[in-house]
Amino acid sequence: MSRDSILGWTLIVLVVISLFLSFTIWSQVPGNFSAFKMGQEDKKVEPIYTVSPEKILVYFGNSFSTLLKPSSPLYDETWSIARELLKTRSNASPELLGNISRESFKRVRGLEVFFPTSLPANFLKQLFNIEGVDFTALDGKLINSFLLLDDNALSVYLVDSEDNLYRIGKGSESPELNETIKDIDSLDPPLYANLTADVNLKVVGDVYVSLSLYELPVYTLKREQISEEQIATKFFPDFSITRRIQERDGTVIYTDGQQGLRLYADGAFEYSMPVSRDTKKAQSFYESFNTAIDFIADHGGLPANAYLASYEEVSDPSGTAYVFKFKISANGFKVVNAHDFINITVEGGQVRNYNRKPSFSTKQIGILDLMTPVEALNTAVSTKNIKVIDDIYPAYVLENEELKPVWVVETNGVEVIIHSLSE
Amino acid sequence: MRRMLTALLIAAVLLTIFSPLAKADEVQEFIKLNEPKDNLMTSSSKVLLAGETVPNASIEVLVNGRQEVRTLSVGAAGIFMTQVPISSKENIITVKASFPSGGRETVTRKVFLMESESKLPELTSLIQTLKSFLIFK
Repeated sequence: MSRDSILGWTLIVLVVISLFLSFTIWSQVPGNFSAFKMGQEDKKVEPIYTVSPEKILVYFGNSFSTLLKPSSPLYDETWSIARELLKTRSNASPELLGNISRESFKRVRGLEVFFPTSLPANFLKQLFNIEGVDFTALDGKLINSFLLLDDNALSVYLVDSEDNLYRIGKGSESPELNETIKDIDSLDPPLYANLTADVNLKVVGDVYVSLSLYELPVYTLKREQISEEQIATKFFPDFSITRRIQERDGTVIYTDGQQGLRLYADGAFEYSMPVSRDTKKAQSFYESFNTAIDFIADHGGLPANAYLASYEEVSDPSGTAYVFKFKISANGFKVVNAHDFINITVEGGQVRNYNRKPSFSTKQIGILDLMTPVEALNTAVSTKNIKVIDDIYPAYVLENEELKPVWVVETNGVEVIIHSLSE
Repeated sequence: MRRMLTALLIAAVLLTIFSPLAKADEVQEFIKLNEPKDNLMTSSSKVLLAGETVPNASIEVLVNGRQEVRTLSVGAAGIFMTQVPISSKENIITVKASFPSGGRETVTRKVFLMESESKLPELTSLIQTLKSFLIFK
């Protein structure tokens, strides 16, 4: 065999190994995503997608459960069936059944859909178009999740922020729900267990952890370049009456004497428009939310992985304003140390303030093996002296223009970040 | 003199018995198995095993006398959690905890593996009806 053919074969082997290793890395990624990317502008956004569940707990009926994250297979199908069943199978006035005990659902097939933030019950009714159910009994209640349980008959429940369980529907069994749960089961998903502890460490509430290893991608961020004009024309269609002022630090201000737009050098921008008393019209929380969503869709778009993280109702003698705060998830997980990506205030049917952080695109640069949740709890107890936990979940932190997976332990309302030991 | 020695001896014995250190040792050595529940009936070929014990203890799990999972080392949180394969209709799960002090404690659970849910429709239905009645009524 000649020297050239040896070198040729060596090269072929190296290329094959390289392709194999690349395939292995990519095949382990639970799902691709484009965090922080500008959404497709002028694209109508369905408000319901901004409250897409951060997790769906699936009860298999045999003491095991799994959690579907937005990056999990069958998440979209499950979410679609769940909201359809919530809409069509809610048929009874809310009946309070006491505090939820998830332990009792271990022998029942079902889904529990957790919203990214607690939502007002009436807002939920409008958002999901739940007809034929009077939600008056739930006035003032904030809903954390809804449950669909098939116990020979499908029952629909809401769980409020105080863990009260309300039945809002009961009827014939649901083949769609059973089929979905069977499909999820057939994929051999990672199993989750309800973590119980009250001696060395006290676990408050229902905490679910996986028994499988956690391998999550690490991403690097790249700032998206969006031209100043591209943003400004969205707010000021007529430039003949618009002034442009550039400040020394690079900030650019556009104003037509009434509305103002401040564009920062890093790509973030702030828009403000005083709402006059004459043009104000009373809007409900739901209507204000729709106004906010439509405005965002027209002014920068809403990224696919943006979610409603929190909201505020600000009332004064002149009226009520609603502040909606959106954050970005990475691969379906929260980015715990990131600021609100969008902060928008709606008053009297008009947008008064709109703040938006710079847009980024992401690129995967590797995979990080997280320690098991039990190991993360050991670290939390030994290094942070944590004695009580409310929750533990994997999330991302933004560090040095990189998104890194970590464990987050919630204790007494505080989020404690536990970094992977391999870092 | 003898009385004084006797009194001192009694005091020393009492102090040893009721000292906080002795109490702490007494409280520390424990194993609490939260899962599986005794006489669990399941159609799954694996069961969840979870519990709490003394930090730095080690946990050995036997299914019908055979070690099916590797020995678990317990950390500072005192929590252990794993899944155990079962294959027999009747399974005795034995969990042996070895404490740092050298002490040992054993807990057992009986788990029944049902052949399949479909083969026992009446029983499943009855259990579910009873559970839903107890839970929701």
